[in-house]
Amino acid sequence: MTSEPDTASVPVATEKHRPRWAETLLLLVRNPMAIASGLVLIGLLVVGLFGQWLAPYGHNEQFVGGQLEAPSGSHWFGTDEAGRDVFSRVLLGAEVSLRVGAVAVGISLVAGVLIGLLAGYYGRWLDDALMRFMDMLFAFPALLMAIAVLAILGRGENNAMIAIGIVYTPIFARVTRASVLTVREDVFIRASRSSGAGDARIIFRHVLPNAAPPIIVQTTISLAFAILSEAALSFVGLGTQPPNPSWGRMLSEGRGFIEHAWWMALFPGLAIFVTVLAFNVLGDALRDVLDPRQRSTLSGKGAR
Amino acid sequence: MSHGASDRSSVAGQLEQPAGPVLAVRDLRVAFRTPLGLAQVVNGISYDVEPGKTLAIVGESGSGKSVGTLALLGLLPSGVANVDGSAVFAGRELIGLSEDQLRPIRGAGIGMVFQDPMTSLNPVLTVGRQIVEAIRAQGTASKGAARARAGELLAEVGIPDPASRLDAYPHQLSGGMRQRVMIAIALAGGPKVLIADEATTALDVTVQAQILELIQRLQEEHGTGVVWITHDLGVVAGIADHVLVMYAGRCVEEGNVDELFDRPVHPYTRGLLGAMPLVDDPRPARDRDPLATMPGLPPDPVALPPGCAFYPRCPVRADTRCADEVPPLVSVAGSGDAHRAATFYAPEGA
Repeated sequence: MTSEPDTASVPVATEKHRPRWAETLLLLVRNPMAIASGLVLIGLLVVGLFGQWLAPYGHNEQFVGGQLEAPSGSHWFGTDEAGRDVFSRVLLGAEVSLRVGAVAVGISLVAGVLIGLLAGYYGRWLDDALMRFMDMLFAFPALLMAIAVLAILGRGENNAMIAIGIVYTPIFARVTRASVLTVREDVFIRASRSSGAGDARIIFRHVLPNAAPPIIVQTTISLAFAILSEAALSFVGLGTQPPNPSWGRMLSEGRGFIEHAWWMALFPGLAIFVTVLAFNVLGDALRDVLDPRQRSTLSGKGAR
Repeated sequence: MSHGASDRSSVAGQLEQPAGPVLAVRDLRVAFRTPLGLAQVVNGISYDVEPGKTLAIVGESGSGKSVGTLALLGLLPSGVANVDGSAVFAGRELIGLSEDQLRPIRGAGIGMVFQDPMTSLNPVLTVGRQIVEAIRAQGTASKGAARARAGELLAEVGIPDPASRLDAYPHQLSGGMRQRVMIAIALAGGPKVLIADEATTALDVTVQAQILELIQRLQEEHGTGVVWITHDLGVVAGIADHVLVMYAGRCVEEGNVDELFDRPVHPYTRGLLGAMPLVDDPRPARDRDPLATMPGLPPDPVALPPGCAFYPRCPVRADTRCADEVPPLVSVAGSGDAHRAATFYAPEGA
């Protein structure tokens, strides 16, 4: 044995004690795609929150004699068949899309993560029972499933949120369970049990935070899918009800006039496209940053 | 203190006496249900842990030395592990207790330190929060008091600048520092017994020596009984009072450390000691005996041999009974009761 200096025990007193989320954020802002998608989403959030003050016209304000007008200086995105300003309706539709997306994903996140935690941590019969039930839900095509739920609950925006929430629950349950299964075997779980920690503390303090990265990625990507689903449900007339603005609804209304007034369908369609793309790009960037194997190469690149 | 079946009946009576062992394990058996059949990993282990003394459990990988201690605290997966036998801690039988009954004993009664300090701390929580959690797991300390105590514990395990280290994340500490934190966590509940499962194996030699010194100092200060699980005989020689050598889940030889190192009896123990390099061998390298190796692998726990578990690898095979009779653990002639071995072999020099 040589008398090599013990490099491992050299203290790192100069390094600041930075929590992991702060480090993640620092790595994330090094990715230009993440910044771009982040900015788009922040802009979208502003529009969603303050749309009523930003929109030049009300969502049901009609210009008699100004129906199906092409985009111009006074109506940037043109007007629809009832003479309503498409630009204002797209801005106001952002609120509906974001709200439905956020609430629906919130429902599936809470339900799916709880189910995944219980199934993954306790295993055995509980795992079998919960996950087979999830598999059953998962076996239906997502949109068909949502339509079936709406057939029971009745159409409307709130029920659309619940339906989308139910449809995406199995995805969160699966992602969470898979992540919990790997974390559960970590030595620090056994170590904290050996120092007297109970199940609840182990699940929420030790398992969940360490199982979180794939769940966070799944959340951003699911937001995109939930917004798409809302658009689809509104498109077939089960989601947001007229005359309220919704991108999916506007798309379906514009379809009838596509030859005469392309702007009626194009702009809500673009809004859906940009939003979904931004969530997906952010999800990808988060995945890169949160994956511990890629993380070390990323931070290494930045440091040297 | 004597060991084994002969004094099993008197154990219960002795427990309340201050001089008695703090942990008395008798005929502990652990079997895992596997698709290939029942894997008998621990097959009747008995030992006593005395306050302030160190018991070393030695054996190669898979000899059941870790499983045997995890079983005491109910830390094996309950669905697949069958645990049998008796383990009396501070007058209380541990085997068969429910999860809720075991929880107050974990940490506060028996603390554990694991092998790899890189993975035995939660990476997303600060060191301070993890120590505080261990302090508060048992009871009533307020957050502020627990944090102050956590700082004291870090100082006690020799971490410089403990107040600021409380806010460090595990990845910001070296391996030796992390193992010190693990020891602080294990000590947080003031345990009477500390089980160190290969606690220095993953560390460099210099750090290893520091950790050994630390444990010995803490043991003297608190009168803690230590169970040191290792395959490193050098460590055993340095710290143990009593040694138990395990092979295929059985105790093949035990005795106090000097007796066992000076006069090993069982061919397995002799093989282990022969496989250890002598650092202070005065002869020049070319004149030394070649380092002994032991051919073969430990037996499959699903299909243990009918006789002595070491028989397939044994270089001696001294007796016709070796192949089909399990040799009992009996006192070595001339040792009083300080040294026992499970072999039919009686070496002349011993």
